[in-house]
Amino acid sequence: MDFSPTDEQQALAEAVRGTLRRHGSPAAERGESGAPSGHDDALWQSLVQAGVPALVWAEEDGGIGAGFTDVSAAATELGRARLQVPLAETIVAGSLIASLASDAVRRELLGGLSEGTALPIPALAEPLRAWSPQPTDVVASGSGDAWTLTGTKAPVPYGPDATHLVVTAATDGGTGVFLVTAPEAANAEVVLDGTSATLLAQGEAADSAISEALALGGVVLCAEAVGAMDEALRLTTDYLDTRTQFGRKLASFQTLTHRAADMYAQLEIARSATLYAAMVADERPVDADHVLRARLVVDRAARLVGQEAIQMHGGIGVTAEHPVSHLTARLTAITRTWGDRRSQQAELATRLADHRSVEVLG
Amino acid sequence: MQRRLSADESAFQQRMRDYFTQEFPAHLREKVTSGRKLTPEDIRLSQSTLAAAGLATPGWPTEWGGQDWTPLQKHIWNSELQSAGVPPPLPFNASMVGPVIATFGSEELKQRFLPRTATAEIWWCQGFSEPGAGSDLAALRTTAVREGDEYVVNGQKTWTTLGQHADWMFALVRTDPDAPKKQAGISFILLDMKSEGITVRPIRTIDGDTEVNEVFFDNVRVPADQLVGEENRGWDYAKFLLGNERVGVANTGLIKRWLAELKEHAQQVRLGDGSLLDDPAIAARFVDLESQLMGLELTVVRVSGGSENGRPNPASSILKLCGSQLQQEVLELAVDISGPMALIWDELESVPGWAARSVPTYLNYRKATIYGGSSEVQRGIVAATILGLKG
Repeated sequence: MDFSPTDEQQALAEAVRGTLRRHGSPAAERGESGAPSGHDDALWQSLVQAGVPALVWAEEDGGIGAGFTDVSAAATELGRARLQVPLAETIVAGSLIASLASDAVRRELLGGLSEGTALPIPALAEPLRAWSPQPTDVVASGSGDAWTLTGTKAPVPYGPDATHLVVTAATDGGTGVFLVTAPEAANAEVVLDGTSATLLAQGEAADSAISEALALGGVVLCAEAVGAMDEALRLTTDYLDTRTQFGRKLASFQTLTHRAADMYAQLEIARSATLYAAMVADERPVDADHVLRARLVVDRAARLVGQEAIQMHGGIGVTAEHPVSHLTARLTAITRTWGDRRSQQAELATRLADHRSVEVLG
Repeated sequence: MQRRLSADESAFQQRMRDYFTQEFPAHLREKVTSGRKLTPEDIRLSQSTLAAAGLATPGWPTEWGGQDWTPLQKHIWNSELQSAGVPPPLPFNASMVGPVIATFGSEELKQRFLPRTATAEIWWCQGFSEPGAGSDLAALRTTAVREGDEYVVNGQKTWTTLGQHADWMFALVRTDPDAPKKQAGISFILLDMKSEGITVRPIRTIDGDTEVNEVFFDNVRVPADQLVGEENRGWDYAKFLLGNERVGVANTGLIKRWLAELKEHAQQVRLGDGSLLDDPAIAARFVDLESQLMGLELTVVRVSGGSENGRPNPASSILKLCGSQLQQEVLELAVDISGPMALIWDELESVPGWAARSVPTYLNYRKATIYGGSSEVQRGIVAATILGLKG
């Protein structure tokens, strides 16, 4: 067992850092709000140049054939630079396509994704429904090559920018996974009304592919969160070390420095769980429960780090122009994407009695 | 990066597991897993058995009975030992005084003490804290004045864990009251607990047990050759001692066994037609604790395995902080699972021992965030040395 990054991973992280540094972080610089920044195609294309969206896909499908430890290293840099791109989204959609689509569709979409010409995005959540990977509101009807979908998926981040949507829908045969080509969405609401779709899988095959895809996307989210927490803690310690009140540096107040130490402790535990989850994601079958546990560890750390980073910055921390507010907004979104603390706890609880203890050394 | 154990590491893990679960005396393990109290004889027997198998002091230099193991192997050893319910080697011997003597002691001290320290033929206790020197350990006032070939020791130590069973004490004493810094006038000496002038007074703790003691020194004469290393360098040795043993400080193996046992206990408590483990709020706490424990154990492996750029990983400072908190959270859950049964401390025909012991154990383990450098001390270390936050 070894957690140290390879030379290739360090080089990749450095290359991504360089790309992101050249781009800056326009949303924070504009100072409008911490809202999701939307798709920035120029940034995405620069990451395509660096090979990031292609990393995990097989070479025969047009990808690079690297692994999740690699894409995680890139995602951590995205989090640190507080730049939002649909990387985790393409991992989820791409994973469903990789495991369920025909050879031709798989090569076309994963190849296109790797080249920056296709942007497949998952449409999973349903409005006013607690998170579940099982669709209820969007219903599929049809058979063979002729299927239509009806119902609303929302929110679907990057929905308006997608070239393809991978949509879950209820069918008579259980959960179905469908591909919608050239979707039309004006915003994060995807309204399907007899929309033509291609069936990729249904029933058990669909369920297990969804579970794996969400685990893989979850790993990328965890890695992004670690980068965002790294940066939030760095900004906070810098601030404590420079800001003066009552004629003293904030760093002279133990009530603040001890809380910064707790942020560090939670962050390091989240980093360990995330690195481990990335290694888990490079094995098949993926142990999705280990990823769920990592997501819970990251959730706890992200809440503490985000909340305390703002609190210790004082008023400036809740302004739209300060980076720490953007980091905390992103951490809040990450920990509600494709599952949240409640759903993760509930899912793991169903299997709690199946093991005596959680073993990681094996 | 590599998730799996190598073939050699797996074989090592299996070897440890086989020894602890098949060869080690079962009656000692059974006592631990059923929550009964070990006698001093049990503890000595356990350690001498482990020492005979070469498994009592793996962190020591190999010439003195240590093992040439990687940090990961040490973690596996500790993990398997704790999960099997083997009484762990006395920490005062194995991870405190032993490495100090082995590193800083004279050849004569090593030969005199190390073999019998490894087997627990000598039971050591720690003489560090004093009534006026807790977290501020360097404020200690117990003095040792050199008279010919002896030191004359006067003063008082406190919180001396299991001192009532100890044969010897390693102590920090003030040998230079005029040193420019209070840390600079401290020495590390070894005292025979049978020496004239030593009085041990047990302190009863909140759970009714007598685990800690006050120790008084009234003109105790200590041969000067029982000084470890150099006079007035004791603070350096104490820092070495406190920072020496990172493996085991998080107690992940112990927490894992507690959590597994607690899950079984929750299944014994009826709730409606099912058990308390079916309750979503209780189940969520188990899930969280198992997840946090996973994160902590992975952190132990990550930081003990290494060396990022050749230096010890600074994150190792969080292991005591987080491990002690997690121990307490598990024991708090045990009280909640005991529910109304937590109202008594004595086992009844109908109320199992684990439930009756839940509150005294929970209260006793408030100590975990206090001893060995309190959580506040740990946070101070993290803030100052890792985050660079200095007032």
